[in-house]
Parts: sequence; structure tokens; C-alpha cells
Amino acid sequence: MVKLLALDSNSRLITCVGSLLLLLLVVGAGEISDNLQERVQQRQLERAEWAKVTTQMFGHMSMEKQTVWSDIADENPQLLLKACTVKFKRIPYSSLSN
Amino acid sequence: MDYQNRAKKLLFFFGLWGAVLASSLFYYTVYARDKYMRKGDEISLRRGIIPALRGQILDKNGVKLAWSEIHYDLILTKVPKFYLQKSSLFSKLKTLIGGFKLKEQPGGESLIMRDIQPELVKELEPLVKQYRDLTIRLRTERRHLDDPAYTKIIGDVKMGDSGLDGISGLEYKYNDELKGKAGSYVVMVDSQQKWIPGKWTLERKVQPGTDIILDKDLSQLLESSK
Repeated sequence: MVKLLALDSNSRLITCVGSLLLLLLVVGAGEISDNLQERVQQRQLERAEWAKVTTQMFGHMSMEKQTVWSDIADENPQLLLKACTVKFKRIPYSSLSN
Repeated sequence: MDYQNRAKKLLFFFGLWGAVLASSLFYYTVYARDKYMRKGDEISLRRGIIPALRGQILDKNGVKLAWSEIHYDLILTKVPKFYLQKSSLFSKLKTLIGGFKLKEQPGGESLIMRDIQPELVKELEPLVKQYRDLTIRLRTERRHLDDPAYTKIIGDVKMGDSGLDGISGLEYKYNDELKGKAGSYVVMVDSQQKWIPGKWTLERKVQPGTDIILDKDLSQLLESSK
């Protein structure tokens, strides 16, 4: 602090602006990492949901087969959910909510 | 003086230009925002229907009279037009599943392989991701007790809009309970029809059909039908 005060006004200004930019960088990096974590969590939840929807189709299988297919559903949930989907269509403009 | 007039005209022109820009910005971002958002959604959103698994019919001792079996088939929705793309896909498929012959299906699709096994699903995933027209599709088969005496009693089903529908016998009588309710989801896709991560929502949960346990055993069922 004493060293900073000993500097001339221009150097003090540069030091302050530099510190402020560094602070903004640190805050920004924190925000990005939070966002990334949220996205990763959301994707994991999505995958779990796909697997859950898919596994309801295995209800009449033997336990052995159910385990094998459930493992496949956990590994490739999107693929199996797409396989289960009977109609995959555009949503008409009129039925979209405002 | 002339210089001042020209500067004023230039300023007026820039002011007008700025006003036009600001008003169009206001129009698209505030006034017509919802309209364009909906148009964007119409292009990118898709709704998928997930059929419910039809319930089982059991006699009072728990003997299965009717149940559903699911199978996964490998389908080619459209044969690639370009020779290179077609030969590359077919040679990759040959490596994975061995020799195959395309079987024409209704709707212009071609069946590559019926009843693919779980291990193969894993191996096929990268290929299905790469080729948009290659798809794995679920096929539901309704199985009945393997005894001709019960065929008429149990009845039959046919494929409806969102799953199997009972058309005769017990399948028809208990159709509402057995059928369950199909679910649906909404997802945003890109221009390649790939799902955009984080843009999937479950709209309606699937309600699997209820199992029906009859109050008669097999012999009583046969007797009552005479």
C-alpha cells in the first residue's frame, strides 16, 4: 500500500485499472466454470431421463435380458429413445404457445 | 456557410439512419419478438411420441396368456443417392453385421436386419450417428399362449396410431386398461436433425398398460367360453 502511494498518479491509475481488469477476469472465469458445471449436470439429468423412459419398454423381458438392455440404455439412451419413438414431427405453428 | 449546411445535412442523414435502425431493432426485439421466436421454434422443435408397453393378460394362477415382446430392427429410411456414400455405408455395415440384403418395407424404407442384439447396438451407434438415414427402430410383437384352444378367447391386436389396439376377445374387452397412455417429448434439432444438448423436455409421461389378472384359471376359461 505504501509502495502504491509512493507512485506517481499515472502509475497508480494504471495499477488500479490493471487490478480491476484482473478482478473482472477472475469473476468471468468463475461464471464460465459455473455455467459449464450446470450444463454438464443438465446433460447428465437428460441422459438419465432418456434411460428411464426407454427402460419402461423392457417390462415384459426376463430379468436377465432386462439387465442387459438396461445397461445398453444407460450407455446409449438417446439412441434407444429415438428407436422407441413412433412419430417424430414438426410442431405446427398454431400449437406453439406464445 | 456552405460547409455548415453540408455538415447539418450529413448529421440529419445520420440521425435518420440511426432512427430507422433503432426502430427496426425495437420492432424485431420487442414488438414482433414472440412471432419470430415461434417461427424459429416451428423450424427447430420436434415432438416425439413414445408408445406405452401393452399390459399382460394372466390367469388367476399367474400363467401368461398374452404379453408383449420388443425387438430392435436396423432400418435404412432412404438409400443414399451418391455412389460413394452408399458404398462406404454398405461396406461399414458389412464389416459390422456381415452380408445383408435390403428388404423393401412399406413407406419406401428398407429393412437391413431384424432383431439386433444388445452388443450390436453398441457397435452400431457411431454409424447411426454418422448416417442420418440409418436408424434402429423398435418393433413390438404381441405374443399369446401357444395353444390354439385359447386363440379365440385371448383375441387379437392390430397396430394403431400410438401402439397396439385390441380388436377381439380379451384383448378387446380389456383394451383400455391394457393399452396404457403414450408419452411425448419435445426436442430442439439442428439442421442435420441432431438433438441439441439441454433442449429436451418430457411433455407427457408414458403410462404403461396395466396387467390384467383374470379371476379364472385356464380350464375355467376354456369351459366358460363353450
